[in-house]
This record gives sequence, C-alpha cells and structure tokens, in this order.
Amino acid sequence: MDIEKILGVSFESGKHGIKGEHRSKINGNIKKSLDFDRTFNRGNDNPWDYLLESNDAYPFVEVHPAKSGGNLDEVFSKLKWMRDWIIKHKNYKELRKEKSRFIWLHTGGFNIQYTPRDPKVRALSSAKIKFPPQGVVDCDRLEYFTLQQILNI
Amino acid sequence: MSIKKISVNNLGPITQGEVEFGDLTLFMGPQATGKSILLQHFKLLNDYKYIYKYLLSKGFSLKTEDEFLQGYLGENMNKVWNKNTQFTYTEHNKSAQNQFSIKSDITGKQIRISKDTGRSICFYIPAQRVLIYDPDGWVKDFGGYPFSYPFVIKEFSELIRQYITTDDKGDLFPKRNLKGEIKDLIDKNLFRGARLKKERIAGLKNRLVLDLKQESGTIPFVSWSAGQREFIPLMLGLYYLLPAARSEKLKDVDYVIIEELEMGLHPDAITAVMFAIFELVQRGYKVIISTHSAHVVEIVWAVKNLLKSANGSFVKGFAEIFSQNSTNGTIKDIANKLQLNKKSFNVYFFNPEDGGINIDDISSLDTLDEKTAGWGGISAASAKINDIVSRY
Repeated sequence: MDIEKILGVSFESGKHGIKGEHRSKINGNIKKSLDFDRTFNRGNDNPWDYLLESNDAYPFVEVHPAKSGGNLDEVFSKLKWMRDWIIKHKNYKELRKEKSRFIWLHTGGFNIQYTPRDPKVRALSSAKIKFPPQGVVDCDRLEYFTLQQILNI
Repeated sequence: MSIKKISVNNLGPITQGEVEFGDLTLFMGPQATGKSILLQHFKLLNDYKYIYKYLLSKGFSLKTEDEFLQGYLGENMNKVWNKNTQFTYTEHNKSAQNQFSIKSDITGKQIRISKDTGRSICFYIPAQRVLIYDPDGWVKDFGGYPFSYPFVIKEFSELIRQYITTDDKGDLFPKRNLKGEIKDLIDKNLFRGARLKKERIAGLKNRLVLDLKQESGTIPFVSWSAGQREFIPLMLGLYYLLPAARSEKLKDVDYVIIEELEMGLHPDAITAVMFAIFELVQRGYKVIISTHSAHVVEIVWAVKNLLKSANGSFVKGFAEIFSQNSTNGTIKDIANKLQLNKKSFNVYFFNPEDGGINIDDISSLDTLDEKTAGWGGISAASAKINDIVSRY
C-alpha cells in the first residue's frame, strides 16, 4: 500500500517537504518528502521533523541539537511519541510493515556527556538510531528495517 | 517431573510472583529479595525425591518440615515457610496447576527409597562456589561441610570433586569439552596461557594448581586471582555439563542454575562465559541465571533484539558480540540453532517496592516502556549519573 494512502496525506516531490536550511543535511535519492511535524503536530505533540521516501523505504528524520543530556531526553521522548502514534494509527497493520529508519541529525555538533548504560541510549540503539548523532545523512547508504522490527511493535 | 511454571505466595521475603522458565531465564533484583530462595525451591520441586534420599544417606533427620528445610536450605532457613506460604507448579506439556508443600509431598509422605529413587534434573552452581576448595586446594566432598550449610553448595562440591577425581585426560584447562572458540576466549580473558592441573603434594594428595610455564613452578589456589578462584568451579561445572564424548548433553539434566555468574569477572570474561551459556542453551539445556550484572543483561538484550533480524544478520551480530568471525562453523552452528529452534529468553525482576517483594516479568527488556526500561533497577544508577552530569 502506498504511504500517502496509509497516512492519508500528500507528500511533496523531492526535498520540497524539507525546510531549506535542512536540505543540505539530507542526501541520496529522495523521491518524496513530508514536513511530518507541521502535518501531525496539533500543538503539544512530539513528532519527528520529516518523513521521506527513499529507495522504497520511509526514513524519519529529526534535526535536533545534541548539546546536553536534555537533548537526549527530548529525542527519546520523540521516539516514544512516534511509537505510540504508529501503534494508535488506524492503518497500523500496514504501517508497521513499511521499511524505515529513525535518523537524528544534530545541529552545531555533538557535545553530550553520557554513559552507554543509560536506558535512553539503549533505547536509541534498540531503535537502530545512530548515537552519537551525525551532521548529515546519505539515505542511499542506510540499511532499512520494518517499523515493527525497529520499534518492537 | 520437569517444571515449566511456578507460582509463589509468601515464601521468605517474596510476597507473590509467577515465573515461566524459558530456554534462558534471568533473575534480577537487589540483595536479599529471594532470588536464591526461589532457585533452591525450584530445584527442590524438580529433585525432591533425590534430595530426600541424599540427605537421609548423609545422616540427616527428616521427620518434620523444619528438619527437612534446615537440612536442605541450611540452619534456621526453615523460617522461609510460614502458614501463608503457597507454592504451585505446572509441568511441561500439562496445564494443571499443582500444589506443592514440604509436608504433603515430602515429610508427610512415605517416599520409597531404592537405588533408583529420584534423579537430579537440576544442576545447581551456587553463589558460594568459592567455598569448594579445601585448605590444600583440592575440592571438598559433601561431608567436608558443616551440617548447617545449604545442600546446593555441598552437592555441587561433591559432584565437582567426583568429576576431577575420575578425570584422567590431561590438564583441566585447556580441555576439549569446550569448543575451541569458547576455550580461546576463556584463555584470553581468564587464564592468559596458564594451565589448570592436578598436582600431587608430597606424593600423598592431589591439589589444583595453575602452571604458568615459568621456572617459578606451579601456583596454588590461594595465590590465584579472585576472578580465577571464582571462575574455576564454574568452569568445572561447565565441563560436567558438556561431555567431550558424542552426546550433546547429560541425559538426566534438564535445568542448569547458575547463581551470580559474573562473580569476580571483568566484562570481557563475562562475555566469554555467556558464550558458553549460549552453547549450553543450543545443546538443549534450560539455563537459569541470577545476576547483578548489567553486562549479562546487555548480552541477553542484544541477542533477543538480533533474533528478530534475518538469519544472516543475526549470525553476524551474534558473532560480533563474542568477537568472532561469522563465517566460523561453530558460531554459525550455535546461532542457527538458537534462531531456528526459537529459543526463548525470559527475565524476572524481584521488585522490592510496595512493602514486599513482587516478581515482575520484564522479559521484553523494552527500552521504550517505563516498566521494563530500568532492567530491574540495573540501569537506574547509570541513568542517575547521566542526569547529574547533564544538569551541573
């Protein structure tokens, strides 16, 4: 099933759904993009910034600072929000079968002191999120997994 | 009798809990929360006829519940049972829940004793395993301990003593019971080229020594590192379970219980031991481990996660955990059997909240779920440290 039909929204072609200042951080064959935050945030929600279509997969991208432990908490909360949102989605059964990744792109460098044993760091690893986060991503070089596998749902 | 599930109420410090045993089961929780008491009762449930016969043959009086419990659990440990204690179990391939009590199943019943009475299907490697050495560095027999000591340490010591007494196939380490890759990891992380040997003292008595292949001679057990002293009884237990002959496992033994597997060990050595644990699991043993080690749980969490991947990815990930090459036949064999035979990994937290100890099922180890993310309190300390560093 087509992702636009599953979610009931229209994507923009290429990188047009991505804010201008973020486009250079996201490379590779991007067929379509959606400003996911603008589309689904009803005010107090916590979604990831973008959803892309790339190489028959649908990676989520969050452009977020990585300057303090607080930023780690924020991205962790966003990941939890995304999982809840997907589980509650009316087309959950189709959605969970789609191939995806969650990508955290930092703004202005990485500077979080952490111990790897922190459960939040483990949660990111479990969801196959690269941590420490990176400055740019090449979507053509990513290995994709089903959302079911990534989010343990 | 082989038990798959138990349910307890008011046993020692445990208020209530239900445990279903997987192919590998972890017990976690702070000290004195009843993990060891429950493990000893699990063995009792499986092996009570054998235990009864064994204790009788060693001169124990077993007429009352208190006598039996003290004989089995140790002095004054009879108090873990009280009038509100309830213990039920379900056997493999059966659905009925059965009540178990010391009186109705053991002391109030006439257990007929013959030479075939009872088999031991639980091999128990106790936390106090460092006590097995006698002052000369040999291994004590059952009678070498005071009456007041728990059965499980005395039985383990006796079985290991018998094993090393009758073993006449060269050094005790390295030995071919362990697959080459496991042996190499253990050598690299624990023995560093030393060999474990039996040595005659003054032509009279055997003792265990490490031979460093140096001119200084052999090293008696009092001079071994703490990790080596703790690890060698565990390794001898693994030898006992991994016959070098063709058979995959000991026919009678279904369950292997290891208390505090990590004692005295560096994380690299823990990784080596966990490799051997997965070898036990793929051979068909069901293994139960109590642990305070985040590293043990991390390995189980990683394997549980990787098991969801395609076979090729699982083999690669599994191999990397143990610093092995995924094209290696042994690694492939162990990983394939774990995945194809759908081995199950269950984790229980002895939770000291709410004024008593409740046993929580945290098998998912789901890091996005608040109930399981703390891994039975094991991660909480790290999260707290991160939080402090992030705030100041």
